[in-house]
Amino acid sequence: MATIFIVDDEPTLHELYCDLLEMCGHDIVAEAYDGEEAVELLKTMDEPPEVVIMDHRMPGKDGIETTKELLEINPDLKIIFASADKAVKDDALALGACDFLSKPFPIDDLLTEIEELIAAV
Amino acid sequence: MGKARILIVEDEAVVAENLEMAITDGGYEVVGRADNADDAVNAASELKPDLILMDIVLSGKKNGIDASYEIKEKLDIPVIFLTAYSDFKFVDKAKNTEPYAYIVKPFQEGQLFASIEMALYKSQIAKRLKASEAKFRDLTELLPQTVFETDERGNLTFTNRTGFDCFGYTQDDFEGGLTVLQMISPEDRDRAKENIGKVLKGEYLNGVEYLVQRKDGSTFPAIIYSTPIIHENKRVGLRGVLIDIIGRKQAERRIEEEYRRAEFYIDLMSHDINNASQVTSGYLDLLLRMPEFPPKFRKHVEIALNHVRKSSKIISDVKTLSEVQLGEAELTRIDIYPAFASAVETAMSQSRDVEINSDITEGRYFIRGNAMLFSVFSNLLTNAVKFDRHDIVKIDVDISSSDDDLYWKLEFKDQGRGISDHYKKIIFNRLERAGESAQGTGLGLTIAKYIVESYGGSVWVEDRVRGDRTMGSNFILLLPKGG
Repeated sequence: MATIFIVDDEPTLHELYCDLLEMCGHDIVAEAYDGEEAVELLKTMDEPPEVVIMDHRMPGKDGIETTKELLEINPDLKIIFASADKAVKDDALALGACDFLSKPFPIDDLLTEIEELIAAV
Repeated sequence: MGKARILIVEDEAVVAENLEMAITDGGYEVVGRADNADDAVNAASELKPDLILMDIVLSGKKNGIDASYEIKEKLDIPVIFLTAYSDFKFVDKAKNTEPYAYIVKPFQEGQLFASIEMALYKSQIAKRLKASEAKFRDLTELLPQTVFETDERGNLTFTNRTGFDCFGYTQDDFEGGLTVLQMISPEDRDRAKENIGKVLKGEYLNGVEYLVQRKDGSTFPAIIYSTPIIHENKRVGLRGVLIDIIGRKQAERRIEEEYRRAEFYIDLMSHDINNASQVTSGYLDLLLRMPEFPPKFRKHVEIALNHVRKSSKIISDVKTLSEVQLGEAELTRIDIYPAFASAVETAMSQSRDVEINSDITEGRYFIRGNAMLFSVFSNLLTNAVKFDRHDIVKIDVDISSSDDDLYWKLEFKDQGRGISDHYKKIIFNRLERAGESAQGTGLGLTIAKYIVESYGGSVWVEDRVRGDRTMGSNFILLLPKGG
């Protein structure tokens, strides 16, 4: 079981992630709808999340920019990119994202990745 | 030319008579005689002789030189002056009428004929030169481009009508002095100066683009082609053509905008549809994971799930296609093998029993291509598997050098249901068939074709067994060798 932080501007995807991850026993500890909010939220969290699910195309700061800032606050964050912008895959991985899931991806891929990440800790 | 027709203007009857006899004997035709200037002018207008023999001293108020002036104003007829030694003082004045020769009386026949022949010949040349000059002047004036000439310092010495119209200068401006650099926008002047120097040194420049400037200060983009004017082996100026390219620039900009717009739509659509597909497929996935989900509906959800994935595949195909068509992917020397191996892997993972036999090996077959080669192989192999209903799908992939040694020839031989001759021709041309109903194989083969063509190669399909399409197909690829 992992504590998870969702960053995505699409509310239905929040619902999907919550329904799915909670069904599988994970704990959604924070949700942000844009990059700014994500950065602010992380700063206020006493306990950092074990996994961040990061969208790329969001109003204001994009996922790459947001990832940069989150990693500056906490370099140990495990960030999984979940985006329909395949073109930013290389940038995301180079920046330190743990994985890049290209939307639409089978949810098994997400679950497996989360399990691997928490097992590695 | 027939007999040359000659008009004699001479006020001394005896001399005139002698002249006519001599000339007629010499094989010319005397078409008339005049003994004073006015008659000479009238006779010249009416008879239009090929040549006039004109005595300088005539009876009456006007002399032969006056007559020559008048004739020259209206007609283009060569004149030979006849003078006595005592009249030689007139010769200087006569010069201005551009006579072809002087004959001093008393004349010798030989000298007379030689002068006549020379005058006739020179006047022919002059006429041709005039015609040729008129032709080039007309062409220059008709050209919708600016034509100009300058001296070696860049002062304009000539420009055509278009030049005046285009730049808004008048004949008065021109006569007051204009330089070619005045026509160039200030920011481009240094470059223009440099280039003028180069052309004057004999360097060949292809058309050079400048921002040029009208009299009112407004500017427009233009290409200037120029060449040195050579006179007595020296470069004494420039001759050039200036083409307004504002229309071309605007068209280029429009096309660029269209490209950007198309890219934008594709990007927007694919991003948002993929996001929506994530929600749909995510929930379908979720349904299947629920312990209480009734197993008898499992199949239905799986079909729905499959189709959501298919729509994502279409989106990614369209993106690939637009990337190929926009020519964004660079070509380098690549090994065929890695792309082929991963395409084989993809084809094998389609939950069918698939056997793919091939002699393609690593480090042996190189082409000029890019990472999209995988899509070509993957589309061909996936199709081959899809349309083969045998329990075990068997595909042979042969590779050989083309007869001209320029290409690697790959043959994908399947044992599927084959392709009709009609369909063989159109199977790769989904885009050309854009108006037709969208059925059939999707975009895979069209993508393959565009990619292969972007490499300078080609792809087509034949029957695996000639004449019997039911035995399967042979998809043939020619890929340009990469050294």
